[in-house]
Amino acid sequence: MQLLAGTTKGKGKAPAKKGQGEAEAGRSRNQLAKERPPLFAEELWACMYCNYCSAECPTAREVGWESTTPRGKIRMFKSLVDQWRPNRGVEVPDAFVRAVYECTSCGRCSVVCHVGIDFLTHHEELRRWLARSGCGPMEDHDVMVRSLKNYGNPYLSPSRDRARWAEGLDLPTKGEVLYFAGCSDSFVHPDVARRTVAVLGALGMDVAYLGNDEPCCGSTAVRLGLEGPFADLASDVRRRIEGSGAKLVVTACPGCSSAFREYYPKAGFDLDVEVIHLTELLDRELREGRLRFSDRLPGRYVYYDPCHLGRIDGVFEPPRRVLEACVEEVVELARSHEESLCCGSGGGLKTAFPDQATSIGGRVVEMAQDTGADTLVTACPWCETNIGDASAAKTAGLRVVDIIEVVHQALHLDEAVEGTEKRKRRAPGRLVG
Amino acid sequence: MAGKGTKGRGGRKGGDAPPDWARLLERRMDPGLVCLDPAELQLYDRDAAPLPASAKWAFNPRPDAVVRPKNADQVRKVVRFAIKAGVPIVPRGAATWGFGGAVPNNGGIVFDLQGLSDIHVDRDTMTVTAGAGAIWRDVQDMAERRGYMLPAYPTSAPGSTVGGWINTGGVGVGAFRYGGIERQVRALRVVLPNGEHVRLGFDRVIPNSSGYDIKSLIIGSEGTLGIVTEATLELQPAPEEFRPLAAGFPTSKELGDFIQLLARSRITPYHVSFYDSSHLSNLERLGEDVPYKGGLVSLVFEGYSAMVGWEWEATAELVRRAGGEVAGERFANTTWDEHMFDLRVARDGPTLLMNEVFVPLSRISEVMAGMARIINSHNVLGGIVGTAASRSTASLMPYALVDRRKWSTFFAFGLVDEFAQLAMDLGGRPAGVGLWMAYQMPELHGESMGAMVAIKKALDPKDIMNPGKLVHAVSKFDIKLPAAVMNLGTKSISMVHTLLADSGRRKRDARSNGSKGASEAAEMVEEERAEDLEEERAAMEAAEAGIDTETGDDSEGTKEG
Ligand SMILES: Cc1cc2nc3c(=O)[nH]c(=O)nc-3n(C[C@H](O)[C@H](O)[C@H](O)COP(=O)(O)OP(=O)(O)OC[C@H]3O[C@@H](n4cnc5c(N)ncnc54)[C@H](O)[C@@H]3O)c2cc1C
Ligand code: SF4
Ligand code: SF4
Repeated sequence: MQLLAGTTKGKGKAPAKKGQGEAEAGRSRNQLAKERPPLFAEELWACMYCNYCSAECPTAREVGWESTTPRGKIRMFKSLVDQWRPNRGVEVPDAFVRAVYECTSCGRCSVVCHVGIDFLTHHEELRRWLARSGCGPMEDHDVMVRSLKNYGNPYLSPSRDRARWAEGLDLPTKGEVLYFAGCSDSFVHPDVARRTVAVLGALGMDVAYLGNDEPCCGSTAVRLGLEGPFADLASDVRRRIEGSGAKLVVTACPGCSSAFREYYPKAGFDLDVEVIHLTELLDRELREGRLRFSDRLPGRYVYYDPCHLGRIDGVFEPPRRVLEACVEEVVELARSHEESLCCGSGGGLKTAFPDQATSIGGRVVEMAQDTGADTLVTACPWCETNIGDASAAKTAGLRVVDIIEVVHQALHLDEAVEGTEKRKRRAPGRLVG
Repeated sequence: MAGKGTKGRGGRKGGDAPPDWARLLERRMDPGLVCLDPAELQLYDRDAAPLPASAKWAFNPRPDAVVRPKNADQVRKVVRFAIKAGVPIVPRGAATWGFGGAVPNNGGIVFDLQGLSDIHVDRDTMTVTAGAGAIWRDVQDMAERRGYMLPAYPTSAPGSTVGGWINTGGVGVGAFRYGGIERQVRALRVVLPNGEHVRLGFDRVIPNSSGYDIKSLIIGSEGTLGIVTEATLELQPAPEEFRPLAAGFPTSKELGDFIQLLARSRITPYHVSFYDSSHLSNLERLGEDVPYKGGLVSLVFEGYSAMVGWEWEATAELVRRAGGEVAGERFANTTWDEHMFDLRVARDGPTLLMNEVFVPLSRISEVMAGMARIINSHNVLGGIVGTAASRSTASLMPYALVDRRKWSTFFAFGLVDEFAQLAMDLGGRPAGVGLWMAYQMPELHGESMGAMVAIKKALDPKDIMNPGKLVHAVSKFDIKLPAAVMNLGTKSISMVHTLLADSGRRKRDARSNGSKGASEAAEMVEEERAEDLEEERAAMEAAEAGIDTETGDDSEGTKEG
């Protein structure tokens, strides 16, 4: 059965998509993929159509049509694999490209699949195949692709502004413990970066940083399937981390930590240092008695598991232990741990489908409100941004913060650190995850 | 949000033009509600049954339009449109059922109802009211969060919808203690084939009363009598304890003995499921550690801890008496935890062919042995997963693991029918009918068939509500199918060929006579053109006079009844 036959004819530029943010004029895209599609179709044949994945998939829940469900996409993928011929390749319709990118890379489908299809991995493989064939990513991602190329970050921000968060802190650029701020905390949540350094300082750690030379970790390139840019960024990161003399790399961004731990080794860029997410480090310090809180902050807090820290990297308990140590009451969302609902910003969705992303974030906000908590605590800048946006859009009044803000406050460090306000200036248009 | 989620899904290209009525539907309804994109429509041509391509010779399972309503009013409007246009309506939940109920027999409008997903728990009446498209697991979660438990749900709860299970009259988890879905429903809201949106049953008190119990007609009607938009279901207070028990048996014989001992005792577990030796070896092949080879029973008890403890011990005694062995707590817990993933064995298939049948509980050993023989005779891997649906009835899901891509698999489709036949020979029946088993209805229901047809005709005189299902086995050429054609096994191949030969002639006839509903649709298009002109004129006049033309149209609300 040729599911996709007849939806797009001939070669040429994909029609510009309108209506979801200001897409820039598209570069020319292929609609013919010569390279053989990834050969994972064998596993996909086991799909029994139980819908478990679709009921959990944030984009499928949001949009609904069968083509946004993982099981629907599986049918489309299989059809494309079937249509490919060695001598003439396969036509890749817009609907297919859209299906591949209408996904937050949250990995929920892979966890819930009845027959264990690792759909997320296939998705990523497909994105790489589309990008290699010149058929992806979508035109709506162009702004991000250009930003990565021209600015070395996804936020259209000049590199000279990268380390502005550290102004006046006088941090060294060499040392055993390297704080890797990442693009999001550098450009969007400088308060998180400053507070992280303050808390680590209070724990007696002299952290180094890479200043304006810190490259993007490349996780956004991974999500869009851009192997070339990812390889360039990864080798730059590796070189600079090696040059810093670091033995331990700390980051507060799960995009960075999962890139370093999961994707670098897969692409042959092993870092010869220990990489740790900030929450794991704080938990270690807590358990070893170096992190102590004299009192607990009042209020009801709810912890939100970011997909890439939790489901992908398996870090569930450390942030909870830290939070429980410093606030009065911690409650759980109806869906947490492995079952955590995606915030909606990942996989480039917020760039190409910003309304969908905010709407998905809205479901997390509703769930948080259902717990009666006044503050939602997360440990990922993408989640903080998107759930924060959703809360603002709903005028829900739910405070959305990074865990470091709570720890910082509980340690009474506020008075000691200046410049912890959020940066008002955001990247133009939208963000990507 | 206008058009939300339809970006890239609107257009239709190539020679695949939608019928005029479909374009009209798209124009008349709210933006984003109707989809005519062929690539999207193609994805709505199946349910959980992996049918052989040959099924498409007899049916046209691809809809002409799919609608995805977000509220009951949108359902009602599209139904009214379909009535006027004489176009088939096919209600669809999550399409996880395997009998083709949600698959068109000949195009028409598929209603993807998953957008009707609101869930509300009422503490006063101890009920939950859920949209027909709500996923069972979400309903279950909501009930638990409010301090209740859902008495019954299908094992497909993570993926299937409330409306789907109601319309299949399902039996699932919790059946042994609380019965199937029919015992949980207090009230339904339904859009009938006359376009009225009515409430059937009572929300606040139990529905027993004099008066025709129309609500119960809808349960198990497979979408042939109306579209359920909402259901009010009974809840139970959350138990103090949930405690699983697992027991291994040397063969299906001892397993069957145990289940009968249990059924004849006063012990009332919440749920009882069982697995035959072949299923267990399929799990082993997946790398799972299965300490019992001959057969496994998994039970779960719920209620006050003291009572749960007593029943647990008493059951353990019955296990031993039947020659079985009580498993450790950890194994019992993991078996129960996996109860919604029993069919993970499909990974080894990769195609899962299955049926679901009800058989007298007193004969389960016999039926299981017969099913094992059928599986062996086809020389395929397979297994049996079962549930004690009540003290008298077992629900069995025999399955075969095949590779659909191999041509020889075509013959294996006959298995599905053989399982059903075996069940009927031993006093049981298939659990569902849908499109694929509709030909068996007369044999199944015998003399009550006449009354069923009369009810269908009375409620749906134009036969637009899920035609070809349950009471009529009709192919896309409007031929009533003989039983043998639907027997998709070896016997059927020649019949399918006959049908193919016949199809050329029928297609020509269809073209010259105009397909069903075509003339009505053409009339509607004409009417619409006239109406458009009229509307335009009225709008211009109204604009001049400063009147809002958006209100007052088609606004008949929900009726209570
Ligand atoms: C892994 C797995 C486990 C299963 N376990 C069970 C089980 O334990 N018990 C059981 O009974 N079944 C079981 N099933 C079968 C199936 O999942 C259930 O019958 C399920 O409830 C069907 O729901 P659905 O939303 O998928 O319905 P669909 O398949 O979409 O539809 C089923 C029928 O109902 C009609 N329908 C759907 N929604 C409506 C509506 N709102 N109004 C009118 N008609 C409607 C359709 O037209 C169709 O005829 C299982 C299936 C799978 C894949
Ligand atoms: S990774 Fe997440 S968003 Fe993507 S298909 Fe899977 S569940 Fe959906
Ligand atoms: S959960 Fe797995 S088997 Fe079920 S529909 Fe999704 S991909 Fe298919």
